[in-house]
Amino acid sequence: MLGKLLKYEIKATARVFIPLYGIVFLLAIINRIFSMLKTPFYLEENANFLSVSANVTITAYVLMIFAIFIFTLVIMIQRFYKSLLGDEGYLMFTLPVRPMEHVIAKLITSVMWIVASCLTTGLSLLIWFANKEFFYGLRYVWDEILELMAEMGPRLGAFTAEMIVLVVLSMFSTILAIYMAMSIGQQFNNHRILGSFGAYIGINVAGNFIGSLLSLAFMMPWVQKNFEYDPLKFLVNWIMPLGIVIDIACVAIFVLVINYLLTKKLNLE
Amino acid sequence: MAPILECKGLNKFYGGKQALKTIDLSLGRGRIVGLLGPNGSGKTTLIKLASGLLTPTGGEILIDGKQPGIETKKLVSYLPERTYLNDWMKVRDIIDFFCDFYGDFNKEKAYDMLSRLNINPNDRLKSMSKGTKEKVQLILVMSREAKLYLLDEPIGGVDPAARDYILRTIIGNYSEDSTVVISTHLIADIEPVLDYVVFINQGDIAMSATLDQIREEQGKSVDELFREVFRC
Repeated sequence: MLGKLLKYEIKATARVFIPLYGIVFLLAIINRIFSMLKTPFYLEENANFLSVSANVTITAYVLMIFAIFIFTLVIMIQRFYKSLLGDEGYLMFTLPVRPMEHVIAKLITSVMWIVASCLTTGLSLLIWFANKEFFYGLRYVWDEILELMAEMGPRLGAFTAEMIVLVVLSMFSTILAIYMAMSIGQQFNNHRILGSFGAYIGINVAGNFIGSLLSLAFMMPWVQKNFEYDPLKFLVNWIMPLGIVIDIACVAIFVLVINYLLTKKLNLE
Repeated sequence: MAPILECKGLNKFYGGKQALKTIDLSLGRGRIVGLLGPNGSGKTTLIKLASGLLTPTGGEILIDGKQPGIETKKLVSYLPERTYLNDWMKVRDIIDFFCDFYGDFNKEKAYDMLSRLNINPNDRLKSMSKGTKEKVQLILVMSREAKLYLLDEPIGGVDPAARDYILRTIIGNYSEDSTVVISTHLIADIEPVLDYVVFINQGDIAMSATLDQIREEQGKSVDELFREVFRC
């Protein structure tokens, strides 16, 4: 059933994102054409039709990049709130599917669009700017990275793997915190949206409080002591794995709470 | 065999407000049940509890002997009193959606009913009137071969001609061992199809009886009895 849910979730969101990505790529192509046609706008003595239109499409491109990231967030929230806790929830929650499967389908789809939005941004910049100098610059950066990697020596693999796991887990926990806030907001008889915002603030305050308490009490002295002689080793062997453990704990707590609220405490308006 | 729907000391509060008083109810299989009561009497609350959209404050509700969950959702075909379909899909897409998730969905039946009610499967929900959307929802719900149909105000928003067709469909569609619960206050319209009646008032079961009992013992039609029980 998860596969089917994913299929519909992607279908429901793709119709928003695909056109947005299309516009971004189109603007990148137009910007590239303009940049090939004219001298850079900062060298222009007088404004002419070409420079004005070029500035318009550059501005439009920048706004569209903002727009896709705002949409990624808005759609993530809206797909949970509207399609599970709003009227559409009447259909979704009467399907013979576990509530958690809905949550996982939405979570995976959200992560997918975050990654797709980043890729679109990168790729569109490439379309706009890629030329000889650009690749020369890129090559330079790449060499620097290789050098850095060489310095890390045998720890490189562990570092990269831990980094990827951390990024994915922190995306999961960030999104699940938002879902949990909405599931808590849903418990109120009135002012459910306000309740969701309140719950979100509450989750973050509580998280920060526990985090600072732990780091002040245990982490700081320990980190200070160990960071001095081999920071990289300490990072790869202790700090990042600890971050992973904390993220896994957060994800687990959020999943348990959401599952409890959506199975045992579901009260659709 | 367990009753298809059973309430044991079931009650439901919204905040401090009691929507259902402690009720006990048992509905057998192979019946068309009228869940009748004035607005705000708890009809929708009871149906939403049975479909698992609400959780009881106390007591329990059992479908085929089981608490609402995946297994009961396979058996229950629920028509809410509101539009629960997103408006960007075509009717055809929604039929595929139902096909995907419900093993008991009969696609042929759905297309047949659509053509009878002159609804184009390629239309988007967005472009439809409220009444047409209600018809689409009812078609989806009745195209399942479910054990229990929970229809919340199924005929409220549609024209009388479609109403007749829908009622005929409800009677014609359901099999021997499936039960249809219809909540409505349009009693005169559905009285001819009912086998069993549950009167619900201010969150309490005021009466539950077979139609024959009502006719024999009270000598009245359900409509008359309703007006008497719920006199304002």
